[in-house]
Amino acid sequence: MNELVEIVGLTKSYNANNVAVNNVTLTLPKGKIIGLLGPNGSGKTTLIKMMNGLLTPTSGSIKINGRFVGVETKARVAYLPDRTYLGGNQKISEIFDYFEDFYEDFSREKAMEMLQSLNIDPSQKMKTLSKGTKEKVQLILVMSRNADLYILDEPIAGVDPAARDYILRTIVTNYNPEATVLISTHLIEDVEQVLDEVIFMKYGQLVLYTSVDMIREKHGKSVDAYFREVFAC
Amino acid sequence: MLGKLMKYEWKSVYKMGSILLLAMFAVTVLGCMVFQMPWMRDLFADDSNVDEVQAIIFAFVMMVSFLVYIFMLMGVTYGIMIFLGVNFFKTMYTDQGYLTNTLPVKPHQLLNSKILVSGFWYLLIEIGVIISVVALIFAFGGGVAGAVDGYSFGDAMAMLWDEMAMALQSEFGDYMIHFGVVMLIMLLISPFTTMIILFSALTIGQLSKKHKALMGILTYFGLCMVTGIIASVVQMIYSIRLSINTFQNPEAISEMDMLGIYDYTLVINVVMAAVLYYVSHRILTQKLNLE
Repeated sequence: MNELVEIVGLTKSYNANNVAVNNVTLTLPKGKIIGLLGPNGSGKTTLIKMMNGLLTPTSGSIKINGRFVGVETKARVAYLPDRTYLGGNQKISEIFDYFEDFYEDFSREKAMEMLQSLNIDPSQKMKTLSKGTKEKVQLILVMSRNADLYILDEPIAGVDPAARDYILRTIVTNYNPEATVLISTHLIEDVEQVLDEVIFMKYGQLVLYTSVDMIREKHGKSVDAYFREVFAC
Repeated sequence: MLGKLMKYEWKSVYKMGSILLLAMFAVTVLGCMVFQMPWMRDLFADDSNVDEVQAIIFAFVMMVSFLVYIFMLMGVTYGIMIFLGVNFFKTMYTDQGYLTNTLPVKPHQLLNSKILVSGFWYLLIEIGVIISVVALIFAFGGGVAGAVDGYSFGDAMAMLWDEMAMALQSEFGDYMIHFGVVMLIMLLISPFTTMIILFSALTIGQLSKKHKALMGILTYFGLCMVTGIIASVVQMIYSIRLSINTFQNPEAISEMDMLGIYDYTLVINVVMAAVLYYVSHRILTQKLNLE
């Protein structure tokens, strides 16, 4: 069985006029890097939040590794949200303690290695770090886990191109090859090089789910160019 | 996992809790020192040589000190409550909630860790307030006793104790131990039920589409009002029933009947907390919607 994520008839509506995710059915395999692509407001973050149990679906279901979203799935999903979720007064080393205590698959050794390669002092407090460094620390925390599914929501938004390269390199070189990485972004050109498959979302609906190779073969275009064509205003 | 959650909850609370306890300690020591000052003895001494103007000034200083002390106690009590509420809201329902709510722990473990640690700190503050008040009564007693001829501090305290014992004896008779036990249970349980009501209100506020924090605060005041109304209604019904019984058969009424009102209040608080805990747990498992 190669399926890792099974989403069936998933809908999230805030009211009759605001349906963020509309009847999405999707199966994601193991061992792939998948881009979740779509313009702002297409429902990417809502879908991701439901996969992490931060939003309750209006209808439909999500299973990860055959289990509905809950304690068991949270133990096997490494999630990087689109915001800083760490307290400002915490030192980086204290946050490592926290992750070590709660996630059995967290490797402190790996995290320290990544931290050293970026010359970040683990005794620094989060509030003293720049926005880019905070994002790198959060990415280090996520990628230091040996998870089944990595869900990264806008991991390269708001950082400089050099940091983007570092983040993408970190993702590609550190994830468990048996696992799947789901990257949500609208900076397609930057991530295209690392993607195996792409999901296009528009107005909360699934528009396309295919491999990057298929797009290139069938349409003779890069994912970025094809995305611009599909989502042309 | 509950132990680990409590460890990190403790880390996020103990600094502020300790600061507030220290502040209360400092004000208590200051208050005790004020009561031990020589002018205090002069004011109450039988052979006092304090003139009218000085007496007014002393009385004014005492009144201001007393008000500062009362505001300080209120500040500490409400301060810790506000801090614990903000800490709960911040770690559960703001950006930090993205980490808290994706931890591989059950919602009831999250709730329990926060209720137990916050409730414990609130209990410490409550005990601190009681100790502070008792210390000031002792200091006042000591100060005044020293001023009256033939009275020692021990005499003053013995008199105070006798007065209290007589008042309780006349109110509760043979059921004083029962009253003491109920009061002790209330003292130990009420910090935790208070936290359950506060955290539940903030959780219920999450059901609102907009202004979730504000809705949480309003819900808290609403819940306090509902609890107060329920308690008042039960007390009223109980009092009316007691009055009717007293009228019909005065001999059949015992102190235990008078005491029943405290038992009911305790039960109301516990039932209210249990219902709200269930509601909070249900919201966390089935209605969580982080923005």
